Amino acid sequence: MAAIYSLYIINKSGGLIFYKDYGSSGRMDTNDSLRVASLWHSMHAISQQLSPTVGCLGIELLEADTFDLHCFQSLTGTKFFVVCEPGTQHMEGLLKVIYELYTDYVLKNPFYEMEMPIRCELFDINLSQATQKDRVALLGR
Amino acid sequence: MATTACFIIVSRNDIPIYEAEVGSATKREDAAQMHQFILHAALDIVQDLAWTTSAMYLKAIDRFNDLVVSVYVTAGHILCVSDFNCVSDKKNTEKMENDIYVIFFAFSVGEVHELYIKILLNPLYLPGSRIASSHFDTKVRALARKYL
Amino acid sequence: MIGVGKIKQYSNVLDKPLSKGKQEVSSSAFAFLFSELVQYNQTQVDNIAELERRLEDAGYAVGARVLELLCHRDKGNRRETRLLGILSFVHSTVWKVLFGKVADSLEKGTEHEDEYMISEKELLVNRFISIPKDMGTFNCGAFVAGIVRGVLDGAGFPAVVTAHFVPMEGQHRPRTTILIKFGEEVLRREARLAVPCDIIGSLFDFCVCSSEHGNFNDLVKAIIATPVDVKYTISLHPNSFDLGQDELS
Repeated sequence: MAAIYSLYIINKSGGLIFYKDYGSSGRMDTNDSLRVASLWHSMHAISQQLSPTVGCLGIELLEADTFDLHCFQSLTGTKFFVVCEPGTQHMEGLLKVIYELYTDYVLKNPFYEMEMPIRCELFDINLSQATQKDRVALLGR
Repeated sequence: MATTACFIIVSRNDIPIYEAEVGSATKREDAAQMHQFILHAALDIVQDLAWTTSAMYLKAIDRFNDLVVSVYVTAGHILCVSDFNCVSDKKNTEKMENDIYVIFFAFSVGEVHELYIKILLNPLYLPGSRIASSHFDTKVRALARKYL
Repeated sequence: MIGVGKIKQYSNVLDKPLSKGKQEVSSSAFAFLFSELVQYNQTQVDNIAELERRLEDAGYAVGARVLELLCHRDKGNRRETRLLGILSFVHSTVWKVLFGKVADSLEKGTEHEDEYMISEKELLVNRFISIPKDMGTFNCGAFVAGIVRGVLDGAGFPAVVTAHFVPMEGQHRPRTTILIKFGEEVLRREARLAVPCDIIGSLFDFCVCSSEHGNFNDLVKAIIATPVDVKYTISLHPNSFDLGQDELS
């Protein structure tokens, strides 16, 4: 069973508002994660410009030797991306689920300030349930 | 039948929030004060009576000469009080009283109570404040004409 | 907008019938509106107690209206004059209309006679809300507490109503308990009202709950032999009514 390494949520200006890592491989400190977030934000923006197809929305999947990076961008420009083991299945589905959790437990929370780091207990609880391996496998059905 | 009636709605703390004098009889000079006096005198009786029954309509609770005071208590303890002038026909009093209850019942239960709820449901209406809606007034008077 | 075309427009609100009110509203729409309500009130206050009070006031206005509407619509124009009656009205009728289900539980406080609790595993208003650590015990259920206070106060049962988180064993999330503490005059009136109509019931329950402590038959004989004015004092314990029910079940 393939594993998720880490999950990032970045706001529309490229600031990291949520980071969580799973498992030991690929663990990094706060500064590194911030750097990855802003790096990805710029790369994503550049890719839109460079793409030969008209109306390209940016990179959705980056495949490397040691990891896959799946990215989902919402209409408001918030980006959700997961770094996972190469060949992991159902990541698009998982990102949609995470987006749904974000709209429910973050955006409907009166104590959340837009574009600021996410600190919502309910979001954490529901996220850890959604990222459980057996749950992710069910997304394929 | 009833010829004249005074109808008031009283809020929780005994403040009248709506008043209307309805009926066909020609108004006497002192009629307004008289009705006020009788209706307010009846309020104390209602305070106690309201807790002894779960019905909203408390029929005749008081009378003053030929005026019968009838009251309707809503769930929020808003009182719709009304007094009726029943023509004193000694032979037929019982039947006539009954008629009046029925009239008042139809008048306040069926319609005015509903109108009041609609006013209350308006988020801009502060519960316990005066009902200033002219629409409400027109409707109540139209109802009175229909039943009295 | 969804459904706009379907609703008949009335020139005046007074012409609109008081419908059965079975329509449902979007939970998201409510969640966003409620979130906005909390955020707005947050900008108007200096401390958490103040915020709680403002939410409660917002709920109070809802409660006062809901009472009037539901007694007319669902109870066929009957008022509630008794304590347990109004509590079960809140617990079932009001809850069902506002939240689509009856409340999880309605209990009597164990420590004080004048306290009742309505508990809910997951309160609708709290479904999407995480309270930040620095806000301590603040609970958005204050809004619901306000609704309950509005209903009770409107019906003539003034009470202090508060919302609390109560941790549950084996559960991630604490449940929300709405604590109702009735005013003194309510209990006094309740005791007075208990006399004429429930005398038989109270006496019976009194027998049942006292039977553990003494001989049941003796007690019944004693009560039958008691003159009427003494019965009056016996039934002055409205709580024997509740105790009796617990014991029976």
